[in-house]
Amino acid sequence: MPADPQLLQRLRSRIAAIEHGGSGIPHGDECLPLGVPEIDAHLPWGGLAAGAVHEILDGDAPTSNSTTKIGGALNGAVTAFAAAIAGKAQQARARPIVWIAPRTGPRESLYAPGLAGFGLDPVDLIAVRVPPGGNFAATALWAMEEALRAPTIGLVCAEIEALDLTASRRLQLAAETSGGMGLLLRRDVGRDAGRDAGTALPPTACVSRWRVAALPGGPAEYANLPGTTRWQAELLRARGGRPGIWQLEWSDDGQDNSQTAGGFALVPPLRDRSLPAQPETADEAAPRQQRTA
Amino acid sequence: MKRHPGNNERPEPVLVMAMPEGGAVRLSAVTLAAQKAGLSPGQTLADARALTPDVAVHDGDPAGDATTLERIAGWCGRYTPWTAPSGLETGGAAGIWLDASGCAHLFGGEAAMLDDMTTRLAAIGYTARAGLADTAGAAWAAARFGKSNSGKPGTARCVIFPEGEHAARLAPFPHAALRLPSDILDGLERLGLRNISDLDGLPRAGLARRFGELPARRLDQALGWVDEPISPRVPAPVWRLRTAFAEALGREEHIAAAARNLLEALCNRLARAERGVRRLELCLYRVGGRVDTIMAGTSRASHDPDHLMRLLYEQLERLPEPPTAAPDPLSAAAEAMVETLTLAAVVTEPLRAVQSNIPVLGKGARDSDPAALERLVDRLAGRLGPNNVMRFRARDTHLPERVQEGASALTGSSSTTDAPWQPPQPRPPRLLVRPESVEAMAPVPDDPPILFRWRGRTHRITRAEGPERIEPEWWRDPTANSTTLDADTRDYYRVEDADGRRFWLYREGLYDRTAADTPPRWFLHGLFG
Repeated sequence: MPADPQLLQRLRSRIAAIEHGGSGIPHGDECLPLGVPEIDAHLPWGGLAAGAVHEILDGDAPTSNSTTKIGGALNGAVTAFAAAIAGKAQQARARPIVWIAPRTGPRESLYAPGLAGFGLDPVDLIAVRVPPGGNFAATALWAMEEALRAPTIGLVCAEIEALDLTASRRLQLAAETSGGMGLLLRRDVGRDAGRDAGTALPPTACVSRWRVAALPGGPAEYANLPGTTRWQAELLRARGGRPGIWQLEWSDDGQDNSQTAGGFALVPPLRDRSLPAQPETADEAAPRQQRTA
Repeated sequence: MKRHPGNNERPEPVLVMAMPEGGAVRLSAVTLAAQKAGLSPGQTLADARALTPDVAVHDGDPAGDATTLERIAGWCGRYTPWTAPSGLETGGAAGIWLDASGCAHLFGGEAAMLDDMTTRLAAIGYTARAGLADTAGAAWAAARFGKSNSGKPGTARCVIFPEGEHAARLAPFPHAALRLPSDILDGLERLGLRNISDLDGLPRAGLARRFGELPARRLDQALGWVDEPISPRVPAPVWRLRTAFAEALGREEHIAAAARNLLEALCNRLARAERGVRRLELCLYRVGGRVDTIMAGTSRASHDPDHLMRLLYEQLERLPEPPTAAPDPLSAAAEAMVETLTLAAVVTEPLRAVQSNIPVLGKGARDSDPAALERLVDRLAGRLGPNNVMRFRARDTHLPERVQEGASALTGSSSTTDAPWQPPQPRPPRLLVRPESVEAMAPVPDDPPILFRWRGRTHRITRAEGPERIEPEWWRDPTANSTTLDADTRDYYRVEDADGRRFWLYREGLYDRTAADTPPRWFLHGLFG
């Protein structure tokens, strides 16, 4: 006997209310659509849920021991992906963005002209540098929680490596209470551990976990020029949703200007595009068949 | 002011500080015991040894003296905000100026205040003499030459010249009470002038001809005919409150509660004056003589006690353990107890009254509080440091590392930028502020490299765009000449490796200008999305 869709919906909303700690503020109706219908429909919230913390793993970061204690270079692909989401949040929610960037300093920094190219307006961006030291991780988590609890912040982006279940639960609760949105940028340290990529990182209380890696760029006017920015975005885990994998590109006008910057788009399958440099693995290919079917 | 010897049971050692001065080692400071033995500052060490063979000599430390004096001046902030260390240059006669106008009644009168001051200083190991008079010069003389009831000069702990009587009380004092250098004092002595009343009776013209204008000026300053400007250690804030506890506080929550009381009183006054705080200073005066200062800045003038208290509390709970010389933990804890708190609004700004706490219902309720962002910034800046919370501002320049300027979000205004973020070429979202040198293989001049090695990883380049030539800003460096200019020219390339990672590389210098045997150097400057 097929289930009554209305009954299912009611049950889902009751579970959601319980999950929000009985605070009576379900944020399920508030979400941040990525602007790609395929992904937004796939996600259980119709986009990235507000009142939640999402995790983005850097699929490109070197996993060897060449990284520093604070964490090696988060590469440009993840930075750009997070900047694009932050820019969307900035526009949709009309609130400033806080970016907790421990390495912003004399050596390495977020670069506002480049962020503007992905739709993040630097005027409404507050960069927070956590001084390295003994309780660096605790301070960074404190800063993120404070920013999540602040009611006038559109999105909090934080580059935090050390995160256990308790800490992520705290962050998630803070986001649920205030309706804030958090992005955690982390290195995918478990990638070399085995075939089960992405799951070697200990689980967290974040509502979704993504892995983002660079893809060879889109077609350009001339064959040897770098084309549009492309990512492989893999949804490893989503509360109440299924995993998925998509190839995304950034369609823009080539001007680094947050006002006219473009948006995400799906890479057109196999048209005008060179094949990926590495053959896809079996488990990566499976969800794509699901999608195209 | 002299440090007490630590152990009172032994007889006081005859202790002097000595420093080389003018070709001889002279005493710079002596203890009371040494004074009794006939030693005085300015004597040569050889004379002192002849008088007292068992004298203990320590090296003088003018810098340390100045630091200590500065610290005691800060300690005296509990009595008045206007304090200044003084007179270290007069050698052994250093002291601290306090402007106690309108402060004495807080301590139960002038005598009670001076008594409290000297008692507390004695408790933390300093022998102090206090003088209070209508003029700075008279107070200086009173502290050093004032007579106690026994009539012996220089023995009274506290000497007060009642209002208007300073001229009469100064009259019998020796000339040394006028802060005159020793050669003038010797000259006056030779003329048979014994005390200040003798000097006051002389015609000024003759005095000035013989000794310069200094004696007359010092006399006029001491008598109050001429004003004597003295700069305080820190400008005295207009908005300042103070509380002293009958029993010193040890527990953090009690200190926080006391600070909260002060803050509420301060905010009430500020609200009545329609002003808000931009910078707040809380001073904790500990029993051991240490003064801890907590500063908190706000990005918008505020007189909201809840918000300001959160900023103070953030730092209060993370105050470092005060270093202590106490032998056991119990007395160390006693030394760390707080006996006085002062709270000052160092910087205030006019603030229009706003109606607060109107409940706003509906979906937009969360956006209704425009000060919430400022409160977050204040809190982050309070704990992480004001320079660690920043906004980016654009600068009108072509040099990539100079284009963006991180300014503290506390001071920066939110909506103004001098230049728009619109470079004609794509820019990376992550910049290596100090470009990192890479080993690059670039076989064809003026072409991008075909592979490069960075942080132990080799990247084979499949696509590239460039060059974008950026010239150095020669007007910033006056020493640059034309040849180094060419060497500093950068050719930027946007490259993509086989895995799709994108980098911003540049080559330093022009090919045709560099010698053939030194290949040009390549740098990685940014990471593209």
